[in-house]
Amino acid sequence: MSTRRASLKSENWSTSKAFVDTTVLADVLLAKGPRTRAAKLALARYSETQLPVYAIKELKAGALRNYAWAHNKLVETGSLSEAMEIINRVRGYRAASAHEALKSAAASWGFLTTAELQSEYGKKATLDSITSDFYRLHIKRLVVRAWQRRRRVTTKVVVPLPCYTETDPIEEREVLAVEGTRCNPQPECSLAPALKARLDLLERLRAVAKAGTGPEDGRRSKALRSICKRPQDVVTEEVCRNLGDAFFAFFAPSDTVILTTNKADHEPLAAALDKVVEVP
Amino acid sequence: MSGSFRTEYGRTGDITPFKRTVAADRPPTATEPTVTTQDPEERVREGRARLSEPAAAAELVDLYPAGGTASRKEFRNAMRLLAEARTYADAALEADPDKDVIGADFAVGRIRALLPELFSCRTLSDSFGMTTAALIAAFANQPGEPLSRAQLVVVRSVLRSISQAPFMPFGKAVEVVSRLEEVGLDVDPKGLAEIGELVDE
Repeated sequence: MSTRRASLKSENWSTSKAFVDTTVLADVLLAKGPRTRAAKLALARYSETQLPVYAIKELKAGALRNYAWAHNKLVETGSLSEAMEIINRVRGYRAASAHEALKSAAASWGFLTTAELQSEYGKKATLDSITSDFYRLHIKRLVVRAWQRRRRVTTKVVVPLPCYTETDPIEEREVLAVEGTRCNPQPECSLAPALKARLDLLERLRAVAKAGTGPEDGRRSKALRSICKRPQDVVTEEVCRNLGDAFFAFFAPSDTVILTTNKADHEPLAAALDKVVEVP
Repeated sequence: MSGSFRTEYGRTGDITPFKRTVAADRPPTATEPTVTTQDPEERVREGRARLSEPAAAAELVDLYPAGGTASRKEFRNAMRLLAEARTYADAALEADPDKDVIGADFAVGRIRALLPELFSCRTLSDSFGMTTAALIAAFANQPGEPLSRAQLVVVRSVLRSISQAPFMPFGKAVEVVSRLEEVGLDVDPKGLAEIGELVDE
């Protein structure tokens, strides 16, 4: 570990600064149980927390859009069990335990209906309709609340993206639309000058991405290569988007730690630029 | 950047309240405002705006344009239940949880008992439904635990807000519900975190 990294590690957290990654932003803003609490506590450890606008863009294109998608599945099916089955299938049954836990939680809302209520209010008082609407309304609240609070999570919002417009989610015909997840570079990504000014750093990040095995590493490596090998070319929206975790390693100021829940992916990139990663 | 959220009530999420106080269930009189628009939706709103409540619940009858597929019966029931819930909230505060915890909790129990039926009236508006759902979750997340005085004050204010503006913009309703969180009530229901896990990348 280099001297600077060692000194950041040993520094008292209460006086240090954090550069906040999208994963932490999502954990703070969306309902993740213990993860939300951990993320909030982690932010409180630093005297200054910096949120790059890039994290807002990633939040919207990722977690927020996924929540809105779940909301819309509930609108389409009007049934929690059907919607969750579709979501589970589309996601490749990767969260079987969560599915089971949700089924059990949903069953606990049985007290929200009775034969009397069903006779008074008809179909919308059935348990499936109630649980579907119950979770749908909570998901909608989370989406709206997350967007309302996105810039209030940290002490500072940094690295503005002039080519990215933070358009509000909208509701049309009952479904949520989370649009505007991409930039509109004029003529190229607003980060391009900063990136092109330090091709040496990009080469170091590229070496790490190249060694990675995941699909995200492949996209990142390709994006970094395109800037390093052809700096005269325009940096497109796609290249910027594919930088992903490399953005945080590159743009985190040297006196900050990168705060993320995804240490495995961020640490090698950060280490290549002599930067430090912390987890909540 | 505006933090407003567009809703079914307009692209900006803002509505102009159509206020009118009606003392009893009766057709509009000649002195009351008449419908001036030819817009069918506006006429429906006018029709709903003539809904009225018994005189005892008169303060809840500041009417707003109805949206969604809510029926006249649902609106009437929701207003009646909210009036009842607010009476219990007043009673709980009067009992004072710091002095008579059982008396206060007894009244809170009556509010809890009204929430399932209130949620059955959710087609009134998503703002109304979401606020009711948040109260349900908040109570469910502290089973058997009496509410503190500060929490009771906020529950009463939330009931008041949703009574006075059941069709408020959704973004505004989110802010109303946030008041519950500010006094330590957890409005995220059991199961919501699991939905997050299901949709996570």
